[in-house]
Amino acid sequence: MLDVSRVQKELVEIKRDEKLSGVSIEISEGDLTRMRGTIGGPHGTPYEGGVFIVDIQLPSAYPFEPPKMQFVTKVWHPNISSQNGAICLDILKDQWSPALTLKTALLSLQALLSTPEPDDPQDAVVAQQYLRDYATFMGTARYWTESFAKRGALGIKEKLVKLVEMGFSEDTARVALENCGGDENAALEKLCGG
Amino acid sequence: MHWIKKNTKKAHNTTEQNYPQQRRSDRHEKLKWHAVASWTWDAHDDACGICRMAFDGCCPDCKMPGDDCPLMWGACNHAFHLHCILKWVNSQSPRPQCPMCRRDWKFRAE
Repeated sequence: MLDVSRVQKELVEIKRDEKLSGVSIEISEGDLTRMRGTIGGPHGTPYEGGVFIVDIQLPSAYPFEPPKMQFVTKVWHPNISSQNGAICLDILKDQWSPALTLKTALLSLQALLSTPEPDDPQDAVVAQQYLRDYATFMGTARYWTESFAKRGALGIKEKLVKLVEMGFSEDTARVALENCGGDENAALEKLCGG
Repeated sequence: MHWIKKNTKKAHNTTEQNYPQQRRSDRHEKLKWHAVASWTWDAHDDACGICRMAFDGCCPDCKMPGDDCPLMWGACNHAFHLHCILKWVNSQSPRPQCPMCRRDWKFRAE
């Protein structure tokens, strides 16, 4: 049986300092076993400025078993599947402890965004790129953050349309956007400059 | 300063003189009394790290705190509700670790 009172306490605790911690949780439709976590992309990383949504499922044996977490927002990161958002993180597997909480798990995911472990990858393609061509990795990660993790901002498609309207070809505009991590102004400068 | 001191002393003496008389007239016998005591676990922490309930409360499976829902200490000195740590240890055999410090879990010898 799920320890309901502990889960409720955890939710209150997360709510209490969600502005400070940068992580928050919403329950889906009154079902305590299904939640949505959000993580702010850490500063100084290609994920900065993005808001990443994580699907959380609590097994009935929680907290004696780890919560199941998976990224809903697409992320370009060696330890997160670019296909389905599956996460490779030890505390969500064999290193789980009942003294950990949903909040500490989300904070660990935030820390994982800051410090990728390419030697223990979830996504081999991303990990290879990280190890062999770090600059391209950073560009792609920023581009994905820009395209998938920013709400309110112009989507990448709209930015592309704007650049094409200015007279650049779609292909060169896309490459420029990708190289600038989705920053339309930087892309425009690049297109004009060279 | 000296004057105040003197005065205080005087006042004090007056009360002392009156006291025995007053006390005699207020005398009464105690017919009934009941004692009130409180207890607390000496756990160096407020709440169980597994269920997050207060140590002076009980684990989620129990209704009454106290001897029926005791605390248990590990050799590492971390305490949990007995019922909570047993659930964890049983789910982690053969080599359970302390939920707090990940050292191999051993029940502390009393």
